[in-house]
Amino acid sequence: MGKYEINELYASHALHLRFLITPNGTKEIYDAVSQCSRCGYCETVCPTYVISRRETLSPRGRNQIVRQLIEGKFRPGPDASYESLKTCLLCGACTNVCYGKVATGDIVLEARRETTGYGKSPVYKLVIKLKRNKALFAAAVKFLYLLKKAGLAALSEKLGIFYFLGMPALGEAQKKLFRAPLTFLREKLEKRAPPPETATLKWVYFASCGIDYIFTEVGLATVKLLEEIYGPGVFMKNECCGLISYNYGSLADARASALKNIKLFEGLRTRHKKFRIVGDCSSCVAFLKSYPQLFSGEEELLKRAEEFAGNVSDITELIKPEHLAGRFDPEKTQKNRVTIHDSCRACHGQGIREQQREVLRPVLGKNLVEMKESDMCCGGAGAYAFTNPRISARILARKTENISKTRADIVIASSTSCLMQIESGLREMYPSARIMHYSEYLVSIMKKKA
Amino acid sequence: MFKRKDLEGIREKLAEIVGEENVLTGELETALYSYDASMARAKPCGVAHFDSPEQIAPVVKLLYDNKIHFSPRAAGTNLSGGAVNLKGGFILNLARLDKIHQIDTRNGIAVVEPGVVNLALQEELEKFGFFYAPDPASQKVSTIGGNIAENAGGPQCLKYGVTSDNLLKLEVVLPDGSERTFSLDDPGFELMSLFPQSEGTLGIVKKAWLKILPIPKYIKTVAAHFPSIEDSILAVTGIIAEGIIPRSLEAMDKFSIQAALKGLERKIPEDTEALLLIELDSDDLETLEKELVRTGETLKKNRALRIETAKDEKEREFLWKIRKESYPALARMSPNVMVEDGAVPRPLLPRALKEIKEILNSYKLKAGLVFHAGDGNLHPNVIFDERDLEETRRVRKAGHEILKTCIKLGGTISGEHGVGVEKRAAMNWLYSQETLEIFRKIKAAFDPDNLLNPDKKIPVSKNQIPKLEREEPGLSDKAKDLLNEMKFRDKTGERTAISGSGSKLNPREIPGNCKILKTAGLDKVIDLDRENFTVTAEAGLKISELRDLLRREKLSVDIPEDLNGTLGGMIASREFRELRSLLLGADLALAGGDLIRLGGKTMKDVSGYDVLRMMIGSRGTLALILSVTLKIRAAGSQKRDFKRPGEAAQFGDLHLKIKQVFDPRNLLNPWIMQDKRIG
Repeated sequence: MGKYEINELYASHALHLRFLITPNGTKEIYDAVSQCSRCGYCETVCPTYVISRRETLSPRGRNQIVRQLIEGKFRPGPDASYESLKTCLLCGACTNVCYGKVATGDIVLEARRETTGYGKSPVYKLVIKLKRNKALFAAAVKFLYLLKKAGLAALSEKLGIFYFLGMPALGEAQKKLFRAPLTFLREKLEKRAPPPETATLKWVYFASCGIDYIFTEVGLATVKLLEEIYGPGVFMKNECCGLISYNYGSLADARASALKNIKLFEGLRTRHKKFRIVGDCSSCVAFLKSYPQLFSGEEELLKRAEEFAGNVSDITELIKPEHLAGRFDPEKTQKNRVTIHDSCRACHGQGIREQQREVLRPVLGKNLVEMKESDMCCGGAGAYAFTNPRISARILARKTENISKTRADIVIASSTSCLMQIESGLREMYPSARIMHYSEYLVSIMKKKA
Repeated sequence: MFKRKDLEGIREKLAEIVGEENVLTGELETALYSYDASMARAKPCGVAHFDSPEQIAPVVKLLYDNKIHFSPRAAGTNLSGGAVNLKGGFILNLARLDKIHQIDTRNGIAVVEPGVVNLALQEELEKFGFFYAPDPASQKVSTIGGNIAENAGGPQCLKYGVTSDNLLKLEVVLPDGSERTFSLDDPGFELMSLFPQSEGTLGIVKKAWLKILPIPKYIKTVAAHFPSIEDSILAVTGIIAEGIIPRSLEAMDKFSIQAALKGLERKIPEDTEALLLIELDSDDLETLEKELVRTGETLKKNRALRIETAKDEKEREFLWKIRKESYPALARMSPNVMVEDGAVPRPLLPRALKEIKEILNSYKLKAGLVFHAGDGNLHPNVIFDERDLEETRRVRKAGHEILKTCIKLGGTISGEHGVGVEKRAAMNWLYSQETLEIFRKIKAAFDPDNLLNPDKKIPVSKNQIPKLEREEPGLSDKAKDLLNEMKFRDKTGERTAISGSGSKLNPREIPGNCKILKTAGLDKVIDLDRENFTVTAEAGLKISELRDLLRREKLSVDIPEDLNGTLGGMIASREFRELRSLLLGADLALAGGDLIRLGGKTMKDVSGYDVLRMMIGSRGTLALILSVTLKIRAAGSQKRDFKRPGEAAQFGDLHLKIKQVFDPRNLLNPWIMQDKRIG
């Protein structure tokens, strides 16, 4: 317990993180939230504030309401604070500009655990139910996709099929789903010939759920790039990173996922020596890098989590300009105007901004155009588009407008939720451009091997 | 204070104006509009969000007619409690009113709504090669509306002036919901002066016409290391004595520098105790290079240990980073940073800093000292944790001691952050009760029921807290005589025609019932401060005599060459627009013989209402000007062009209201503002 008495609500370590690991040191939640001195500098970068100009939807507001809850000064209690808390995108733009480096996203999550209960939200229940049964999940994704393809989605929504199936959130989800593979990435990767049992490898591929189940071609592109640059590697056969549990459900679930992945990593370590775990969904990768926070206060586990996190990389930071020099096809690079959307968990979560530009600038020249607010969230933010559709749509409209002003043909992003969200925005408002994952784009402009 | 049930019906009417979704009275919204960036707290009863500036007036009228308190607010970054409503009324959120209506580079004007973020405007102007001079540290978030309310400054204001120096016209919604436009070209005395730094207590800015300037072609940035703060300040004085006016002149102490450099590779040499950041600009490279050489020589003469000149944009950015990182670095060290804000005459900065250090030590507090050295505005950044009540008490007390030190040295309690709630008590130490009474009456003239941003700026309690002893000149015998004479005439009800050198007053104009009061003999030069570059002289002094004196001293003042008469007459008759930037202080005699002292030798002062500049063009109808303090400069430094303002002859109804504040019986120059409402 810290220097100050705090509300018993936040004292349970089973339900809450013991410490937040912030860029300004490891802190208990009360200390972490008190670091906000209300200067307000976060507001102009917060997408929800920018579109609403309401303090209630600002990082400062969120910190203040959590602080008042902890101090017992906000009498109506956690539920009344829900509008502030549930609308946070967790994009991290605020922490990035904050002088005190207040970890607003993590603070909001700790408070949300009070308001939504622990894994009681409908989205969470649905996803976890599906995830626990991979076959059912696969079937649901394919079912949705086929329904949509057949033009029956709207009809089935009207008929209440999703409700009937006990999946109300899927009614929203199908709107964003434009592609789904009939064979998942996992199935494809597992078919590949494995490298020798004890080969020293430079990389191990971590398949994020979104890539695995929906954007299979992105995963294949990433693996191709890794092989080209770093030689042979192996698929990690990983568990879900646990982000969905961390954001929408219980810490226990998130810890369980993390621990499974840590054990997998440790097993691979004994066989393949020094390698990096590489992912291509920046949201998941950023979360993998933050595993230590899940185990803060538990010495032995914390150490293992730190060892794990220290060996995680985002594909966007592993490609250097010299790696692919001469490998690009000029005809393909000169065909399109390209703009980069900095996925939040890449730029705000991992500080990755310049790497992609350093690779693309020499290749694309003036065909690489910068959009305004490239590092502002697109409103996808995991399941946000499904839980806060109205706000999400307004943020998406702003993003799409910024994209359209560049007159780009291709938008590059590095998180799966950005891929889904921006794709839906482009389809509706700027159909002449399409969204691609960074890996997918790089592979698309490479020369065909002779 | 009113009860929630009084709101019945109001909510619906508000919703009719701004829309149902924009009137929020729930627990969450009101909890989150109970604070700003200061320590002040007060829960409003509701928040109205505006989507159009046209909604302001009807909402204000509705609230005014129903006697409900309200406060305007935009980014809510106020450091003195200006953006909370102390009476539990409504918060009017102007943040969405962020349109830039016009950028007119030919005439140097930008027309904006109050919610435009300062930096957003700068970015827009940059596309055209222009900039807006006020650049407060908060410019990334703070809005033009807020900047006007506080009369914000910033590093650049040394050369280009604070917000009020860069305003051309304002569209304002007054507390009763009526809409008015004020501009520098208005007839009558300068009413527009009242709005900047009024902290949202007199009106709500609906639209502002701002002065914009072309970005100088060349900029040079220099960092100079000094063995002590004192040496750095002497160097500042030296530079200004050279006739060089840098675009900014920032200083900071070792603690701030070390904090800023923490985590960076560059370390600061052991012997550097203070750092000066000097930035020069010009459209002519040769002039700039020459100034740069002279600056370097002056720095060396004043014991600079090392001088670094930025060779490129990257180095310039690094030098600024040391300055700009000092606050963030402190913000990481502790949960809270109190950014104190006081100002003293520049040459007294070393004394002020010494005393401030002693105060901080005696209260066992840690602080970084950062200051706009060029204009004597200092910001001790005190770090603390507001959850520690005992420590917070010490911080508040130390803050008060620091303000008292500033007052004692002839300075002021706020250079740019405002009085708000947090410095109301300190107003008693700075101003006499008579002066505070004038401020109160001005507020009441606009807002008799105290509904708009109530209880800000002026002390609420009328306890006779004595004004502190302040380093300021005494009155001459002539001035005392005049005060006594005015007291006497006030008792007998005798009317007065004020006469200086007689150049402005047409004897035939003076009605027979007025007795002339001559300021002849009220002509002493009270103080010529060569280090501060100010002159204080009695109002009867002839401009020509001042000019001669300054010439002999190799100094100069920016008054048009062809202008004659007395200093008092120059102000009363409003001869040239730029006078407002020249004017730093004045002693006034009210009709009843009360003495009002405004401003002083500091370059910035946002403590009271800007009555000082409102006197411009008042033609002796408000008060007798006894003495004035003007900015001067080294002879030979660049000259200005002058603009003629509008005619001073006519007065409107608001002028009459202000007349009633100062001279309700119309005893002073009574023929000028004849109206049945005044005597």
